[in-house]
Amino acid sequence: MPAPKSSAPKSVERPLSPHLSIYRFEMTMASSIFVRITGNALIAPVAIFIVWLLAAAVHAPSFDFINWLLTTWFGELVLLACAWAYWFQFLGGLRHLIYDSGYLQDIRSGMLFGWVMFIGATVLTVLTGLLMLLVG
Amino acid sequence: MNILRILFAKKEHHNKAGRDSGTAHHWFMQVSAVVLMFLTPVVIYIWGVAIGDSREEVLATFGNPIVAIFTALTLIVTLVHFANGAQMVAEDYMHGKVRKAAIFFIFAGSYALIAVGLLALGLIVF
Repeated sequence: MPAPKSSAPKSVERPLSPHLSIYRFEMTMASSIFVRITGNALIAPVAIFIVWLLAAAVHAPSFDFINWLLTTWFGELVLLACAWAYWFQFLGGLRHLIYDSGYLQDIRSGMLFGWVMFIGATVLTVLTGLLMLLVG
Repeated sequence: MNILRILFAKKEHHNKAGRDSGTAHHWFMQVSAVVLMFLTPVVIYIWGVAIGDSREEVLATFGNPIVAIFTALTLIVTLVHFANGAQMVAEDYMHGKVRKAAIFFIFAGSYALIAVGLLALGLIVF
């Protein structure tokens, strides 16, 4: 009986999808990994916001504590880090939308947009911080 | 073609990423990403200004029905976008039952956060 043409061996240990151990480190790869990291890490400020809001709604002492914590230098540093993650994720999402529309497909553009994401997120974070200093 | 061959192929394919709804998933991420590009800057700005304000001022800010509905909408889209994004991580790095459990907890946690956020907004507005 001939073996079926398209059925692969059943239990072969293959590397999982992002083959981190076999790729050379490149800007396209770094920016892609950071999109994933920032996207998942951004659950932290969302959770902080929801806890802050709930505390404001139901429990004054808790709210005063969380609100104070966020205005300490450590709190503001964490929020600034969150802002960087947000802007990086924002630019990463924008890149995906551009890619999916069929633009910037060549390697040079990919590398360049990676730098745009790292530098752009940093510039936008500084601007966000300055804006908050002005209005907050 | 033998029906068992078809069933076997389906089973073999069952645990691979993108086995059933990859395109719909990707399209949802694109649509919610565009929506979030408009929603999130507004809510983050409002929150940033409100941090450090007194509790009365914060209650007044988020007690505004327009701000509250905008915040509610943003929380829902953000957390569903997050859950679908985190699901991809589970699909990339986990297998079988562990993957299923991880996806379950990702979505359960995200929905729970939506519920708590809406509750807080509801308590503030009403």
